[in-house]
Amino acid sequence: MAWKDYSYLGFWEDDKVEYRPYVSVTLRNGENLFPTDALVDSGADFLVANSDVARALGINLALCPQTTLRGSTGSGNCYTCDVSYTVDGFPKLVIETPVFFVDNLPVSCIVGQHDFFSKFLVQFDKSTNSFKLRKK
Amino acid sequence: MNKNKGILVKNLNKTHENKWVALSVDRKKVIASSADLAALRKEVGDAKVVFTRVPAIGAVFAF
Repeated sequence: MAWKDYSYLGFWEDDKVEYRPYVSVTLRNGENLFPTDALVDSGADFLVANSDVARALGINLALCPQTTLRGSTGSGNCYTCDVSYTVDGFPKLVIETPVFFVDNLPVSCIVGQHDFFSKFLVQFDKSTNSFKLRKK
Repeated sequence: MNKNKGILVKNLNKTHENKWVALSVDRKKVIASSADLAALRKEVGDAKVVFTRVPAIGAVFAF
Protein backbone atom coordinates (compact mmCIF):
# COMPACT_ATOMS: atom_id res chain seq x y z
CA MET A 1 0.00 0.00 0.00
CA ALA A 2 1.44 3.35 -1.10
CA TRP A 3 1.77 6.43 1.07
CA LYS A 4 -0.73 9.23 0.44
CA ASP A 5 0.26 12.88 0.80
CA TYR A 6 -1.63 15.49 2.83
CA SER A 7 -1.02 19.16 3.51
CA TYR A 8 -1.11 21.00 6.81
CA LEU A 9 -3.79 23.69 7.01
CA GLY A 10 -2.61 27.26 7.59
CA PHE A 11 -4.33 29.86 9.74
CA TRP A 12 -3.26 33.49 9.95
CA GLU A 13 -1.81 34.33 13.37
CA ASP A 14 -1.44 38.11 13.25
CA ASP A 15 1.59 38.61 10.99
CA LYS A 16 2.44 34.94 10.43
CA VAL A 17 0.74 31.71 9.46
CA GLU A 18 0.43 28.77 11.84
CA TYR A 19 0.21 25.45 10.00
CA ARG A 20 -1.31 22.42 11.72
CA PRO A 21 -1.89 18.83 10.55
CA TYR A 22 -5.55 18.42 9.70
CA VAL A 23 -7.10 15.63 7.66
CA SER A 24 -10.56 15.67 6.09
CA VAL A 25 -12.87 13.06 7.55
CA THR A 26 -16.57 12.27 7.21
CA LEU A 27 -18.23 11.44 10.50
CA ARG A 28 -21.31 9.23 10.38
CA ASN A 29 -24.13 8.48 12.78
CA GLY A 30 -26.65 6.30 10.97
CA GLU A 31 -27.76 8.28 7.92
CA ASN A 32 -26.34 11.55 9.23
CA LEU A 33 -23.01 12.60 7.70
CA PHE A 34 -20.73 15.46 8.69
CA PRO A 35 -17.66 16.30 6.55
CA THR A 36 -15.05 18.09 8.63
CA ASP A 37 -11.37 18.68 9.24
CA ALA A 38 -9.83 16.69 12.08
CA LEU A 39 -6.64 17.67 13.86
CA VAL A 40 -4.23 14.71 13.82
CA ASP A 41 -3.08 14.49 17.45
CA SER A 42 -0.85 11.65 18.61
CA GLY A 43 -1.43 12.78 22.21
CA ALA A 44 -5.16 12.06 22.14
CA ASP A 45 -6.43 8.61 23.10
CA PHE A 46 -9.63 8.68 21.06
CA LEU A 47 -11.72 10.81 18.74
CA VAL A 48 -12.77 14.02 20.52
CA ALA A 49 -15.27 16.43 18.96
CA ASN A 50 -16.93 19.74 19.66
CA SER A 51 -20.43 19.15 21.01
CA ASP A 52 -21.90 21.19 18.11
CA VAL A 53 -20.87 18.23 15.94
CA ALA A 54 -23.10 15.91 17.98
CA ARG A 55 -26.10 18.01 17.04
CA ALA A 56 -25.03 18.00 13.38
CA LEU A 57 -24.96 14.20 13.55
CA GLY A 58 -28.39 14.01 15.17
CA ILE A 59 -27.02 12.77 18.48
CA ASN A 60 -28.95 13.72 21.62
CA LEU A 61 -26.22 14.29 24.21
CA ALA A 62 -28.74 14.05 27.05
CA LEU A 63 -29.02 10.34 26.24
CA CYS A 64 -25.24 9.74 26.17
CA PRO A 65 -23.19 8.61 29.17
CA GLN A 66 -21.19 11.38 30.81
CA THR A 67 -17.53 11.02 31.71
CA THR A 68 -14.44 13.11 32.38
CA LEU A 69 -11.90 14.08 29.76
CA ARG A 70 -8.43 15.07 30.88
CA GLY A 71 -6.11 17.24 28.80
CA SER A 72 -2.84 19.06 29.11
CA THR A 73 -4.48 22.07 30.73
CA GLY A 74 -7.15 20.49 32.91
CA SER A 75 -10.21 18.29 32.85
CA GLY A 76 -13.90 18.63 32.10
CA ASN A 77 -17.14 16.80 31.55
CA CYS A 78 -17.89 15.21 28.23
CA TYR A 79 -20.45 12.90 26.65
CA THR A 80 -19.58 9.73 24.83
CA CYS A 81 -21.25 7.58 22.20
CA ASP A 82 -20.24 5.50 19.19
CA VAL A 83 -19.86 6.84 15.65
CA SER A 84 -17.93 5.86 12.55
CA TYR A 85 -15.83 7.84 10.14
CA THR A 86 -13.88 7.59 6.91
CA VAL A 87 -10.69 9.44 6.04
CA ASP A 88 -10.24 11.36 2.79
CA GLY A 89 -8.30 9.07 0.45
CA PHE A 90 -9.38 5.85 2.20
CA PRO A 91 -13.13 5.58 1.50
CA LYS A 92 -13.32 1.83 2.08
CA LEU A 93 -11.86 1.94 5.59
CA VAL A 94 -14.75 2.62 7.99
CA ILE A 95 -13.45 3.35 11.48
CA GLU A 96 -15.88 2.48 14.29
CA THR A 97 -15.01 4.35 17.46
CA PRO A 98 -16.23 5.99 20.62
CA VAL A 99 -16.31 9.76 20.37
CA PHE A 100 -16.04 12.14 23.31
CA PHE A 101 -18.04 15.36 22.85
CA VAL A 102 -16.80 18.47 24.64
CA ASP A 103 -18.31 21.94 24.82
CA ASN A 104 -16.09 24.71 23.50
CA LEU A 105 -13.43 22.51 21.91
CA PRO A 106 -11.42 25.06 19.86
CA VAL A 107 -11.42 22.80 16.80
CA SER A 108 -14.10 20.66 15.18
CA CYS A 109 -12.54 17.35 16.16
CA ILE A 110 -9.33 15.54 16.99
CA VAL A 111 -8.36 12.05 15.87
CA GLY A 112 -6.17 10.05 18.24
CA GLN A 113 -4.35 6.84 19.02
CA HIS A 114 -7.06 4.19 19.22
CA ASP A 115 -9.23 5.33 16.33
CA PHE A 116 -6.64 6.77 13.91
CA PHE A 117 -3.05 5.88 14.72
CA SER A 118 -3.98 2.21 15.18
CA LYS A 119 -5.19 2.17 11.55
CA PHE A 120 -2.54 4.31 9.84
CA LEU A 121 1.17 4.79 9.73
CA VAL A 122 1.67 8.56 9.97
CA GLN A 123 4.76 10.45 8.87
CA PHE A 124 4.79 14.15 9.79
CA ASP A 125 7.16 16.60 8.09
CA LYS A 126 6.95 20.03 9.71
CA SER A 127 9.70 21.33 7.41
CA THR A 128 7.29 21.11 4.46
CA ASN A 129 4.02 21.40 6.43
CA SER A 130 2.89 18.05 5.07
CA PHE A 131 2.30 14.50 6.24
CA LYS A 132 1.82 11.08 4.76
CA LEU A 133 -0.61 8.29 5.61
CA ARG A 134 -0.43 4.60 4.86
CA LYS A 135 -3.00 2.06 5.91
CA LYS A 136 -1.56 -0.60 8.25
CA MET B 1 13.05 26.87 -3.38
CA ASN B 2 9.78 26.99 -1.49
CA LYS B 3 9.23 23.59 0.11
CA ASN B 4 6.10 24.62 1.98
CA LYS B 5 3.25 22.30 0.97
CA GLY B 6 0.81 23.68 3.53
CA ILE B 7 -2.54 25.05 2.40
CA LEU B 8 -3.21 28.67 3.30
CA VAL B 9 -6.94 29.30 3.19
CA LYS B 10 -7.62 32.45 1.18
CA ASN B 11 -10.02 34.97 2.73
CA LEU B 12 -9.71 33.39 6.19
CA ASN B 13 -8.97 36.10 8.74
CA LYS B 14 -9.49 37.34 12.28
CA THR B 15 -13.23 37.76 11.75
CA HIS B 16 -13.50 33.96 11.56
CA GLU B 17 -11.84 33.08 14.88
CA ASN B 18 -13.94 30.92 17.18
CA LYS B 19 -16.46 30.44 14.37
CA TRP B 20 -17.47 27.57 12.14
CA VAL B 21 -16.45 27.91 8.51
CA ALA B 22 -17.41 25.94 5.43
CA LEU B 23 -14.33 25.48 3.24
CA SER B 24 -14.20 24.49 -0.40
CA VAL B 25 -13.29 20.82 -0.79
CA ASP B 26 -9.73 21.76 -1.81
CA ARG B 27 -9.73 23.84 1.42
CA LYS B 28 -8.35 26.88 -0.38
CA LYS B 29 -11.20 29.31 0.33
CA VAL B 30 -13.97 30.07 2.78
CA ILE B 31 -17.45 29.58 1.31
CA ALA B 32 -19.42 30.76 4.36
CA SER B 33 -19.05 31.16 8.13
CA SER B 34 -21.16 31.44 11.26
CA ALA B 35 -20.91 31.16 15.03
CA ASP B 36 -23.82 28.73 14.77
CA LEU B 37 -23.01 25.43 13.05
CA ALA B 38 -26.67 24.58 12.41
CA ALA B 39 -27.23 27.94 10.70
CA LEU B 40 -24.08 27.48 8.61
CA ARG B 41 -25.17 24.01 7.46
CA LYS B 42 -28.54 25.45 6.47
CA GLU B 43 -26.83 28.27 4.55
CA VAL B 44 -24.57 25.98 2.48
CA GLY B 45 -27.32 23.42 1.85
CA ASP B 46 -26.20 20.56 -0.36
CA ALA B 47 -22.98 22.23 -1.53
CA LYS B 48 -19.88 20.07 -1.17
CA VAL B 49 -17.84 21.67 1.60
CA VAL B 50 -15.66 20.72 4.56
CA PHE B 51 -16.65 22.21 7.90
CA THR B 52 -14.01 23.33 10.31
CA ARG B 53 -13.79 25.47 13.42
CA VAL B 54 -11.24 28.27 13.46
CA PRO B 55 -9.31 28.42 16.73
CA ALA B 56 -8.58 31.68 18.49
CA ILE B 57 -5.88 33.58 16.67
CA GLY B 58 -2.65 34.11 18.57
CA ALA B 59 -3.37 31.36 21.09
CA VAL B 60 -0.92 28.54 21.69
CA PHE B 61 -2.55 25.12 21.76
CA ALA B 62 -1.59 21.90 23.52
CA PHE B 63 -4.42 19.44 23.19
